[in-house]
Parts: sequence; C-alpha cells; structure tokens
Amino acid sequence: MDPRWIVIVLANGLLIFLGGQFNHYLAHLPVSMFLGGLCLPVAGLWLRFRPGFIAMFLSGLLLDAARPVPFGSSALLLSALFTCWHSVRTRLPRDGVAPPVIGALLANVALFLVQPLLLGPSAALASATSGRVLTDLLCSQVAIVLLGPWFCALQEQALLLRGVNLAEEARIPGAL
Amino acid sequence: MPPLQFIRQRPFAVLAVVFVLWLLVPVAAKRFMQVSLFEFGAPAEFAASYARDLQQYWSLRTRSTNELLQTARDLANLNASYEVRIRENETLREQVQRLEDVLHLPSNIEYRTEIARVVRRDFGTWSQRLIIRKGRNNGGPNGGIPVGAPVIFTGGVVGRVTEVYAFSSVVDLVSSPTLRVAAMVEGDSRPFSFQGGPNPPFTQARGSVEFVPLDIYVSPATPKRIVTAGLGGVFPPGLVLGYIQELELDTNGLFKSGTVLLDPRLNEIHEVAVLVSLNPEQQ
Repeated sequence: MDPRWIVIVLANGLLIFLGGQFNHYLAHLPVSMFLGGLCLPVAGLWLRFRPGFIAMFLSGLLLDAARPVPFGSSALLLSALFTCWHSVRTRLPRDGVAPPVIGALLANVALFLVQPLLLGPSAALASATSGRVLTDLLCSQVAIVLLGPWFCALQEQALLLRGVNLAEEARIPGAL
Repeated sequence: MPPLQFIRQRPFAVLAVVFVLWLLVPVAAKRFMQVSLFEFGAPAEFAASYARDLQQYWSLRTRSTNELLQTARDLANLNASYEVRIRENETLREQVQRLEDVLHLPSNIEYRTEIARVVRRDFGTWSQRLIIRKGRNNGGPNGGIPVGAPVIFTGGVVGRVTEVYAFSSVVDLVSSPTLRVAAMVEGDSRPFSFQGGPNPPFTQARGSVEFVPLDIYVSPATPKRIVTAGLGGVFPPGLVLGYIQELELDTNGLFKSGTVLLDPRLNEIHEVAVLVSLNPEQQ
C-alpha cells in the first residue's frame, strides 16, 4: 500500500484532533479556530496526483466526521482545491516556508467561508455576528502562520521515515 | 486509454467522476462511514478528556488540609439544606399525584438523570456543540441516551442530544440557532419563541426571543429571567434559559423581540445531566 496518502491522512487526523483541543480551551472566550486549510499544502505542492487526491478525500471525510456539515462535503472541497493546486503548481514557487503557508492561508479562507453554505445559510448566519466571523477567521489565520511550518516539517519527516523524499517526489516525470 | 494515463491527463475529469460517484453513494453507506470515522477518532478525544480529569485531580491534591476542611463544612451545610428540599419535593410530588388521580389529569413526564462529563466543547463560528462521555452503551438501561433528550446543568438548559454513538453523544447547545424552544418569562404563563445565537466574540453566549407579549418590559438594569414553557414535550417546564436584556417592538407592532443573555458558565461547562424520559411514549 502507498505510504504517502496514509502518512498524510494520519498527520491530518492529528491536526484535526489538535484543532479540536485548541477549540475546547478557547470555548470560554468564546472564540474558535478552523485549521482545515493546513491539510492541503504538502499534498498540493509536492505529492503526486493519485496519492494526493486519495489523501485529501480521506482527510476531508475525517474532518466531516465530527462536524454538523453534510458528510463528504469537505472531502469534495479539499479534493477540488487539491486538483486546482496540483494543476498549476509547476508555475508556483515551491522552495522555502512561505509557499505552503500562503497556500494554506488561501485554502483556509475558502474552506472557512464556504461553511455557511454547507450548514444552510440561514442557520449558519444566525449563529455568528460579523465580529465573531472576523475574529475567528483572524485567529485561524494566525494559527496557520504559527503552526504551518511545523506541520509541513512533520509531514515531510514522517514521509522521509517511510522512504519518500518530497524534494524528489514532485519532479519525477510522468508520475501519477 | 489506460486508466493511469487518464488520471494523469484529466485530473479535473477524475474530480468530476469522484463527485458524481459520491453523490450516488447511498445515504446508509455514508452514515456508516461517518459513524465509523467518528468512533475511530473517539478514543483520542476520550484520552484527552481523561487526561484533563487527571490534571484536575492532581491540582486538587495540592490544596491544603484547611481548605479541604472548609470545603467539606460548606458541603455539609449544602447537603443539609438539600435534605430538607428533597423531603419537601417528595411531599409535593405525592400531592401532585393525588390531585392528578382525583382530577383524572394526565401525569407529567418523568425523567431519570444521567450525569455525563464533557469530552469536548466546540463553540465554532457556525455551530455550537458539546461532545459528552455517555452514549448508547454506557448511558443507562433501555438503549442508553436517546436522540432528542434535553441536557441541563446547574445554570439551566445546556441543549439537546442530536447524535448518539457507542460511548459518546453530541449535544446541540442552547446558543446554537438549530435549537428552538418555547419559553416564558418566569411567573408569566404566556409562551413565546426562543432561538440560540447570534454569538459575538469575547462575551457570554446569546439567544433571541420572538413573539413576546407587548406588556412585558425589560431593560439592561432590570432583566427578566426566562424559563422553558414545557410545550413541545422535549424540555420540562421551568428550566432556566437566560435573561432577556432588551426588547424591541416588531415591525408588525403585535409582539416584541429581543436578546437573551445565556449563563456565562455555559462556555466553561465540565459536567452535564441528560434527562432521559421514563415514558418515551408520553412525549
């Protein structure tokens, strides 16, 4: 079995768990953060299409399992974002910390703002004030900037342990 | 064209195929996958929850003996007053039973209380939920916790159980707009509608009320406590929802609507009580 998507899914599972714990402690403020966009950058920038697509779809299912959105909606969204990113990535810079973090920030905004559509706009918009939406989005983006480099390095090292070098991964011609 | 070549040349076609296939998957299969993945992640959440309990235990162990003695004395006083209340409650219960028999009234729904620790508070932007450590298999007899059961704490209503798993349940909070309940001002019997949200940041959770009678007046200086009306059969009457702080005349001029401040302890909740009906058919 391909270790690439397994490692990415397990790492994303850890991220979802940590996000849940952060939100548990932030509940008394009450503020929350959404880290779904961080699931994307390593797969989007370096992984081949097939393991990347499988990893994003399964990560989306994990993300949806404990949320009140239609099951599979985040899986389809992450897969769609991954496909878009994968198709343009040869034209994007890939070295350094900035590209994955900027990519995660953009993906996170998209995923965060699409939530009301998944939950039903009337119920979701009745849930939060504009101040709450902005505060939560800001918290989420700050968390992604802080956690992004660590999380990408974690996935890179975990893949390296399974014998997958991300630096070579994306440059294999004709790779799937 | 071989399938691998198709994937390489047509990533967007693959996405479209997966999208269509996912729409065609039966709802039962999706539900099975969702429950399986939730249960797959549950042990990690439980471990974190037990670790927090252990952390609390060890922090309590650092308290001095004098402090513990003081707490024990306070608890003894509290227990004595509760003993008196319990006796009063029993007398009143018997009186109600006698009156129901004499007047041939339908009896009130009776509940058993299932105490549950909170595994995770999820006060998200778009939804407010709790995960509690009681479910189908550990939530008491007759199938454990049922879907739709009311959940309360010392400050009043917490919410309603929306999903039940093997050893955990999901509670939709009273601050969530998905929860609507008939309410009334304490001491007044006219019901109106309560709904959770919208919730601003860095302050206590809120709700809103609609169809409030015109002769009810409140101000931030003199807020009024609202309780459940007992209509609809989910929440028993008299459970505290919050305080109406302001009311405005509706555009039609027939009713008022306004904002309700919910209990600030709702954001820090550690333990809840699930009310499980003893006669589900009465609901």
